[in-house]
Amino acid sequence: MNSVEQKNKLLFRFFPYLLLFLFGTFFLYRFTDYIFFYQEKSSLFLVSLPYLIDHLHYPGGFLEYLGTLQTSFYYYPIIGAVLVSIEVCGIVLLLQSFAEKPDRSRFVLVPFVVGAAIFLMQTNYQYQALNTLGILFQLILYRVITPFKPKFQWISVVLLPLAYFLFGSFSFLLLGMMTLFFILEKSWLKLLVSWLAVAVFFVFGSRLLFYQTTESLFVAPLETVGIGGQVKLFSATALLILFVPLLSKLKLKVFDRLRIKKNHLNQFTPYIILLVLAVLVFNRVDEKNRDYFQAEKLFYAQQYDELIRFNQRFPTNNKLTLFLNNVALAETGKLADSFFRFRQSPDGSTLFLNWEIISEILKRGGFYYYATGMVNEAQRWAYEYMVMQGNTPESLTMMIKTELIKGNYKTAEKYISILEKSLFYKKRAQDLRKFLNDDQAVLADKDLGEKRRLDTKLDFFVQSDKPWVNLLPVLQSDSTNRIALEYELAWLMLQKDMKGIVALLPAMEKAGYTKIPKNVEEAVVTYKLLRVGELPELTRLQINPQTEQRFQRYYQLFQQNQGNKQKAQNALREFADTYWYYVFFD
Amino acid sequence: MSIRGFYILVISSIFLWSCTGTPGDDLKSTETLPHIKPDYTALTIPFNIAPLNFKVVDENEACVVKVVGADDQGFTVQSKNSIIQFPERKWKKLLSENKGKEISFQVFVKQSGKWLKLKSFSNQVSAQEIDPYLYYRLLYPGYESWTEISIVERSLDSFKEKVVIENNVVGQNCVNCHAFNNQNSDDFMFHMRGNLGGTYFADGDDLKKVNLKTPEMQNGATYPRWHPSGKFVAFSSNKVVQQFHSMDNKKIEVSDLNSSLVMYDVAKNEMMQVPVDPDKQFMDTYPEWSPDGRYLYFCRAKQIAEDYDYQDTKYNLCRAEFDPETRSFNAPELVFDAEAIGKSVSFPRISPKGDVLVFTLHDYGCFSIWHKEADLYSIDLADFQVTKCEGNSDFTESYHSWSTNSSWLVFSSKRDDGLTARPYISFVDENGNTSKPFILPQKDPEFYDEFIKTFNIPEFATADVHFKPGKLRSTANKQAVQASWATN
Repeated sequence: MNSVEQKNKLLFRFFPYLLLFLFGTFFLYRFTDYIFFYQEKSSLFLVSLPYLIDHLHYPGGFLEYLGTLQTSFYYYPIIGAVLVSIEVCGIVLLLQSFAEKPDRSRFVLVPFVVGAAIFLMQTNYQYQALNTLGILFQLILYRVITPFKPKFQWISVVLLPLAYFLFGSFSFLLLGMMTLFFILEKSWLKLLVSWLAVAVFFVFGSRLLFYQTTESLFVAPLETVGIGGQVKLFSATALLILFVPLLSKLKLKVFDRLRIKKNHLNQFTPYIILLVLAVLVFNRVDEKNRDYFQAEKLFYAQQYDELIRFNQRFPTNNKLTLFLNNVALAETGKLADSFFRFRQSPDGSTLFLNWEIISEILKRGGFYYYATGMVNEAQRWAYEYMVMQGNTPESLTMMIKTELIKGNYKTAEKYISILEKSLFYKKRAQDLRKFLNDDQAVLADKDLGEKRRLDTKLDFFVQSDKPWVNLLPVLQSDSTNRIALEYELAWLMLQKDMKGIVALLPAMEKAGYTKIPKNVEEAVVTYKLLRVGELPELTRLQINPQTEQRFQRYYQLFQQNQGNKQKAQNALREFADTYWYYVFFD
Repeated sequence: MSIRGFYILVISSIFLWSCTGTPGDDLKSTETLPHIKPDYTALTIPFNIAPLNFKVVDENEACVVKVVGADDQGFTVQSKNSIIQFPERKWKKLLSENKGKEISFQVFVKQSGKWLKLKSFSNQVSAQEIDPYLYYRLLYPGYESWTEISIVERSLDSFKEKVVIENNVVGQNCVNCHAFNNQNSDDFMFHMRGNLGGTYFADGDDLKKVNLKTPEMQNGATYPRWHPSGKFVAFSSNKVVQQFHSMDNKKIEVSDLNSSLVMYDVAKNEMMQVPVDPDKQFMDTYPEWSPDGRYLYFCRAKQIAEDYDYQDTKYNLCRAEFDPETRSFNAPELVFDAEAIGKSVSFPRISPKGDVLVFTLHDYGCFSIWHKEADLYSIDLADFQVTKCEGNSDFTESYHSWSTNSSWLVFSSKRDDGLTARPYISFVDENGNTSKPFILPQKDPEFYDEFIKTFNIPEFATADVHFKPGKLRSTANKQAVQASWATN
C-alpha cells in the first residue's frame, strides 16, 4: 500500500469521528448551551461517601450517580459539549469495533446512525446525561466480555446481575446483546445461565433487598421525562444497538460494489449521516426555551437590569419568563413604572404563581415571596421543591439565604455544609458561610440585609392559593415596603381597579415616593379625567400634566376608532405600554 | 539503598506520619472541660448503649481520649482529626464491667506541638438495660410533599440501622404512625396514605391490610395506641388543617377542626366509637392506655366554633375507665387541667410500671412538634402531681416513648437547630426524675451536623421487626380488609 492510499485510509477511518466530535462540540456549545444550564440547575452532585451510598440502595442508582456527576460539569457548557461529544464518538467507535476485521472499516452505517440518533436526542433539553452514559457502559462491558476466550465468557453470569445493580434497566441492553452473541456462538448453556442469573438476582432483589415498586425495578433509571419524551426514537436506537452484534456480521455486497473512483461509497456514509444530522439538529434548536433559560440564568445571577433588557429585546409570552421579569422589575423598583412594557396576564399568572405540588412551579413561585419580604413562605416553596426534586444549587441557596435572614444559623450551616460538598458551588458556600452567627454582616449585605429588614413583622397565615391576598397584611405591618406596594399596585392595575390604586397614593407618599410611577400615574389620570371619584389630598406626589395630555390624545384616538377594535389597536400602538391600552384591549 | 531498605523507610514514614503521638511527661493540665459534640458529659447511660463517639470541637493537632472504669481499667483512642470513635467491643466490655459505677473520660489535646490535659468528665453507667431497638420514621420535616419516608430500626447497642418500611416500595405512598404494643413487635401497625392506603397490622410473619374507615366515621383513624391485651387499638379520628405562618419560626400550624376517639377490635375486625363525648362538645385526641388496660387517657379540648382562634384551643388531660369484657367506658374524668394555666397537653405516655405519665405541654393546639415552647412534664399517677422534666431545652421537646423497664425515656427534641427533631434519651429514676438527656449516638459523631431529615415518632422496642420489600409490596397491592362498624 502506498503512502497516498495509507493517508486516504486514515482519513476515511478517523476523519468522520473528528468531524463528529468537532461538530458536536461546536453545535452543543454554540447553539444548545441552554440545555447544559437547565440540566446543571436541576441537580447537585455531592462529593461525599454518604451521597454515593445513597445511590447504592437500588438498581440503577450508580448510573444516576454518574449521570449527576457528569451533569455537574455542565456548569461549564464547553465541558458539557466536549463530554457529550466524546461519549457519542465513543459509542460509534465501540459499535464499529464489534465488527471483525477486515470488515470493521466498512461497518459504519449502523454505528453512525446510532451516534446521530443519540446526538439528536441530546438536543432535547430534558434528555439526561445518564441515558448516554448507560448505553456507553453497556457497550464497554460487551466489548470487554466478548473477546474473552470461551471459558472466560462465563464472567457474564456474574457481570450481568452486577450490571443490573449498577445500571438498572440499561443492563437489559447488555443482556440482549449478550443473548445474541451467545446465540451466534451457539453457547446455549452460557445463554441459559446468564438469563437465570439475572432472573434470580432480580427476584431475590425485588423480594428481599430493594424498596422499589416492581415497575421501577424494571424500568429505572430510565424515565420518559428523562429522555425528553422521545420514546420512539430512544426505543428504535436501543433496538438498533441490540442487533449490532448480528448486523456487524452481515455482509451486504451491494455496498461493496458501489464506488466513487477507487473508494467505496460506504466510506462516504458517515459524511452523509453527519450532513443529515446537521440539518436535523439545526431544526431542533429550541429558541423559546433558549430565551427562557437565558432569562432564568440572568435571574439566578441577580442581573435584574440585564434580564429586563433581554426581555425588551426578545419579547416573550412565556408566563414563567414574565413572572421572573416582574420579580426583576420589583427588585429594581420598576414594577409600577414599566409593568405594561411587558405582556401581562389579567389573571395575575405573570405576577404570581399559585401553589401547586409541581416542581416547575415550586422551583420559581417562592421568588415573589422572597422579593416582597415573606421569607418564611419563600423558604417553604424552596423546601418543598427540595423534598420533591432533591438538592439543586438554587433551591439550596434559597434555603441558606432564608435561614440566614431568619437568623437560624445552625440550620443555615447544615445547608452550607451540603453546598460545600458540591463541585462548583464551594465558593458560593464559603461566601455564605461568612454570614453565620454574624447579624451585622447579614444586615450589611445588600440582598440579605434588605430582606431581613423587609421580613414581615406581622404574623398571619399565608394564602398561597391566592398570593395577592398576602400583600395587604405585609403592607399593614410595613407600609414602607415598596416592593410589596408595587406588587399590590400591579395587581390592582391588572384588576383595572382605579379606585384601589388611587386609594394607595397616600401610602406611596408615606413610602417615600416623590414621583408617581408611569403606569400608576396613567391609572390615576384616567380616574381623574374620567371623573371616577375624588383624588385624596397629596402633599408631595403630583400628576404630570404631560401624562394628562397623553391620555387626552389617547382618548381622542380611541373615540375616533371606537367602532373597530382592530383599527383602534393599530392607531393606539404607540400607547401599547400604558395602563390605558391594557384596560381597553386586554 | 537496597529495595528492601527503601520499603522499610517508606513504611516507617507512613507509620510515623499516621501516628498522633501520645502525651508525655511534659504534659500541662487545665481545669477546662473539653468542648465535645455531641455533649456526652455528666450523663447516666445504659450499660448496653452503643459507643458515645464524639468530636472535640476546638482546633487541635491531635487528640487522645482515655476512658476508664471504676477500677482504672480501660482503653485509649487516638485521633488526628478530633473525631473520637470508640471500638465497639472494648466499649461494650468496659460498660458491662462497670454497671452501677462511673466511667471517666480523660481528654488530651495537642496544640502548637504541646500536649494539654483537659479536665476529665464522667458518666454514670446504669445497671438498668435499655430496650435493644429504637424505631423511628425518617423524613424531611416538610409540609405537604414527600418522596422518601422510611421507618427504620436502630439497634441501640451498636450502630446497625435497618429499614423496616420504605415508601418507595409502594410508589411513594406516605407511611406514618407506626405503633407497638408495649414495645412488643408482635403487635405492630402502621398507616399508609395514598392509592395503596390502609392500616397495616403485623400478624406473625404476615401483614394484614385493613381499611378502618367505615361509612359511619366522619374522619379516618389517625393516632393509634394498643390496648395492653393486644385485642384493641384506640385511635383518634381527626379532621386536620395546616396553615403556614408568615413570620414566626414556628412555620406551620397544624390544628384539628374536629376529632373524636374510636376503637378497633382486632379479633372481630370492628370499629366502634369510644363513647366519651356523646354530645360532641369536645375534640378528643391522643389516646393512651394505662398498663393494666383499665383506663383510656386522652387529650380533650372544647369543640372549636367556625370563627375560632387557633391559639384558644387548649387540651386538657382526661381519662375514662374501660371494661374490656363489655367494651364499655365510664364517664371521663379530668386528670390535668392545662387550660386553667393557659396551656395545652399532647402525647400522654404512661410508664410500663404504671406510676408516671409523661406528656408534652405547650401553649395551645395539639401539634407540639412545631411549638418551640413545648416541653415534657410528668404526672405522678398516685397523687396527680405535675412536675417539669429535667433536660428540657429552649426548643421543642415533643414525642416520647418509654422503655419496657420504665427506666429510659426517648423523646424528640429540636434543640440542635430548631428545625430537625433528634432522638434524645434520658434516664428515669425510681421517683420518676429524669436525668440529663443524650442524643442517640452515631458512629460518625458529625452525622447530625449535615443530616437534614427529622427523626419522627421514636419508639423503643424489644424485638426485631421483619418486613421484606416483597411482603410489603404484595400486601400493599392486595384489597384491604374492610372493618365493620359496631355500636358496642
